[in-house]
Amino acid sequence: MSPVISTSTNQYSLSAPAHRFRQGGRDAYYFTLTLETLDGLLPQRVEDDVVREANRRLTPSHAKNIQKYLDEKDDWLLGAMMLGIAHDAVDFEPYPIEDGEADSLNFGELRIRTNRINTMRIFDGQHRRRAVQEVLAALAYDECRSDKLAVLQKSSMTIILYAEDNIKTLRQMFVDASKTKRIEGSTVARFDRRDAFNLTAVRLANDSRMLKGRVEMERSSVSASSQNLLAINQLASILKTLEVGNNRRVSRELNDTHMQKLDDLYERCRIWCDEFIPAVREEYNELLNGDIKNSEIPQLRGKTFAYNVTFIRVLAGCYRMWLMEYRPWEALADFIHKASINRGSSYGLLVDAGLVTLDGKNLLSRRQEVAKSIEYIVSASKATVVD
Amino acid sequence: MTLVDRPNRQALIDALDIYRDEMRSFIVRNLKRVPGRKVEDCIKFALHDTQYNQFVESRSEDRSVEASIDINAFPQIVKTYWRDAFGDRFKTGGNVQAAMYSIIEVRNNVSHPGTDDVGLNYAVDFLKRIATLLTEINQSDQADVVNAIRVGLLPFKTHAHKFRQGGRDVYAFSLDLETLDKLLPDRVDDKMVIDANRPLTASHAKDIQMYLEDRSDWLLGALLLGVPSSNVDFQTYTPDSNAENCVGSLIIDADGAAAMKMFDGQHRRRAIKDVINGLARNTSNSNKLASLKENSIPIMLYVEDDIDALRQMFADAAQTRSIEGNTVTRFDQRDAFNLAALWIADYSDLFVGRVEMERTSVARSSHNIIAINQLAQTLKTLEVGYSGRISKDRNEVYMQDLDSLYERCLTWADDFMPSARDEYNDLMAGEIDNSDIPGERVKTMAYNAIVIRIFAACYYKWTNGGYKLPALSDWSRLADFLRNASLRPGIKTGSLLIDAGVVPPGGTSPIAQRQTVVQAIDYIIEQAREILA
Repeated sequence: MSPVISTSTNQYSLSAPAHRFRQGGRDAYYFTLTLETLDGLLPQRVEDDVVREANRRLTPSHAKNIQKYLDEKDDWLLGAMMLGIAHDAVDFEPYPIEDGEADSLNFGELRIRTNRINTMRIFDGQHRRRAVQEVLAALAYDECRSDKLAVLQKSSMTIILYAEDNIKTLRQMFVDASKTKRIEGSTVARFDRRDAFNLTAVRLANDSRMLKGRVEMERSSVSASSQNLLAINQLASILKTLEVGNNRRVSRELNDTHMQKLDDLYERCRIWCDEFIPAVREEYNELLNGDIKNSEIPQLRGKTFAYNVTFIRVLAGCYRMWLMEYRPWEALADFIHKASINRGSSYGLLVDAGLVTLDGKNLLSRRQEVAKSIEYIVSASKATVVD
Repeated sequence: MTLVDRPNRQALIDALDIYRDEMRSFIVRNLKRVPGRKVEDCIKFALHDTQYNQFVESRSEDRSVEASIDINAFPQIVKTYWRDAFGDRFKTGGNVQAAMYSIIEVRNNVSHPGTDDVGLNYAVDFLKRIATLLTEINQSDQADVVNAIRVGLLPFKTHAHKFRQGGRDVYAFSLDLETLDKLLPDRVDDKMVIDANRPLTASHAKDIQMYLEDRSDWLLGALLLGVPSSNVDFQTYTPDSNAENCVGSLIIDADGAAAMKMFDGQHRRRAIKDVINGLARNTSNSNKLASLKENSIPIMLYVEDDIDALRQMFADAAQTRSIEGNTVTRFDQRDAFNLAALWIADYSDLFVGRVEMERTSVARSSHNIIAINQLAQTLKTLEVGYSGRISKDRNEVYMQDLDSLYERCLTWADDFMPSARDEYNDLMAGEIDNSDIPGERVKTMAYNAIVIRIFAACYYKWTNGGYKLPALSDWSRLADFLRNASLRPGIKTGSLLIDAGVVPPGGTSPIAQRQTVVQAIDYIIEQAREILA
């Protein structure tokens, strides 16, 4: 009962075992295709730039990302692709059992008529479909990777084929299928273990003296009433700032390098957390030695910007910029330690750095203000050292 | 339907009988250790009035003390005499009181049966808890009996595809909603990460529930789960065929049903449960319930039970590309303003041929003046103001009378707008060609989508009134005011939008920040009304 792909001259282009079910008043068929079969059978986009039939514009970079994912990871996962097809393009015959009666009316052989296969439309999965095509084509050219190609060709994806070919309806179905809830930053940081900074953030949240018990794990940001300093995803992002600088991206290759040396990355980040941060402000040092309890953090936020995540990000940016010039961080810490960062004040380091809103009560978190403030603080600190 | 047809419920009833008998004996035996108090006095002291009355009633029917203690009294008695009698009598003592309370719930559930059997997953979960409690009171033999009942539960069996993906075996099959509701794991705690699930957002599950309830043409994609390899058995129907992609009979044993971890689909799963329960309570909707139960959802069951791996799989599965605003506007035909935007893009003299359909915004070099999603948003502004929202119910009202909505939008687009600015009038008259628009942008901000939306908001506020403002049906004075204002970009003073605070001095485009735009709208209306006064 494995899929039987017939030639185009036959009556059917596809003959495969399938589950038939009803959903939203439509017949639907659920079956699997090996990637090799899928590539030869399913429709593919020719023109990327415009909305076409039931497809939005194809974004080549997104398809490329999936291609790399399939190419580089052995434990990949791709969800079901959704397609529509004309009612009269499919035949479905339940499998008989020995006495000739159908065991289940909804498990049988799905056949797609060759002369009607052109009514088949992907409405969810065009990027995956393109990626499958590209990865198989690229691997076919690479003799050294024939094993990978063979494994991929035999791997499969699931297909949900709806008996529906009205374009407007398929468009609506795509919109409905797309109404998912985006994965939250905190969930990505905790779940995605392919990212070296996620792993390091989770490790620091468990082991760092400064951060243990002070990182929000369940939400993507900390509220003013939170006893945490920052959220786990914010920590992961700040650790990236530590390594590559403010607003810089960590390339896939750089991430792979870090993944090879996770302990080194962890140690660098730990020094920033447990040595630099307590040295830079009394607010942190007192947290560390127990003079300030976590429960006091919400109240203290009204007095100091030290427990504001934007400020912590600025500290990471300053630290990175300072170390890039091979300067010992103690001088930078000393400079910031002496500065005023009181909330509600019309003067002080962060006001001078242009990071505080006009009323003095909040920090500006936009990337341009953060970048300027980092430059200002480092520059002012250097001037102090020179003096 | 008899209990024979409800194997899961019957299994629980059998196990509860064992639990009740063993626990009664355990309780009476240990209450004798309470200093200075007889067993019956202990019970009287521990129980609430209702529970104690039940006990007395049972005693009056000549039952023994032991036989008169009901399951719902167990945790109360144990809690009261934890220090004097029970604390050191449980094997580990961990969470036994909470487990005993949970057994009351299951007892109540199976004692008042509805027409349906309880879910396999539910039965397995509680059978395990009962067995654990029996082990805690050193009744390992009886715990074994309960475990045997659990193992003897009918496994789940279905036709399935088996295939390989990412180095794992995967099974694909479909489940009707009723079976799905009984078989698949269900979240209890919503607020935190549990196993491979992120925190459950109740409002998102509720939206899906409403979608299933309100729409007959709904669609839900495949749910993704993991299962330990030891809990599944697969017999291929075609032993000679390709083992890496074949069909056969999939059997998930009773423990496997409980061990399954859903890593993508918890909101849909919750919505299905809630919609079925909701419809079951509403007798007038029995047709909808029956129809829903006949529908199915595809399942992808991965042979994987490592939580870290399942979390990674969820993160990977979530790496989708968000649907773009222009695609939603063009594709989602359930939104009255999407339909209105498409209609205006086709029939308005001002907008026809000047709406960007393929992108979510217009570039400065574009011949278009607004993107289709921006137009839909602008038309909403026209109806409910800049900060207004269109509820689901209100959208339904608009959907009933689309022609009126189109007409109002057209009045704004083809009457008000060309009256308000010569730039639009010249476009409609053909004096400015679409190809001139990029060049015109250096002279005027009229071809900016935010400015167009601000004009829509001003029109709404002028014609609908608001706080301390009467509604004025004649919009011509507003149009006059706007037409006489300067929209020149790059100047320091003298521009309406600079005065309104939405363009910085010397700026060439408005700031899109909500608060700033709202203040600008208020300012423009105030100025226009002052002139009118």
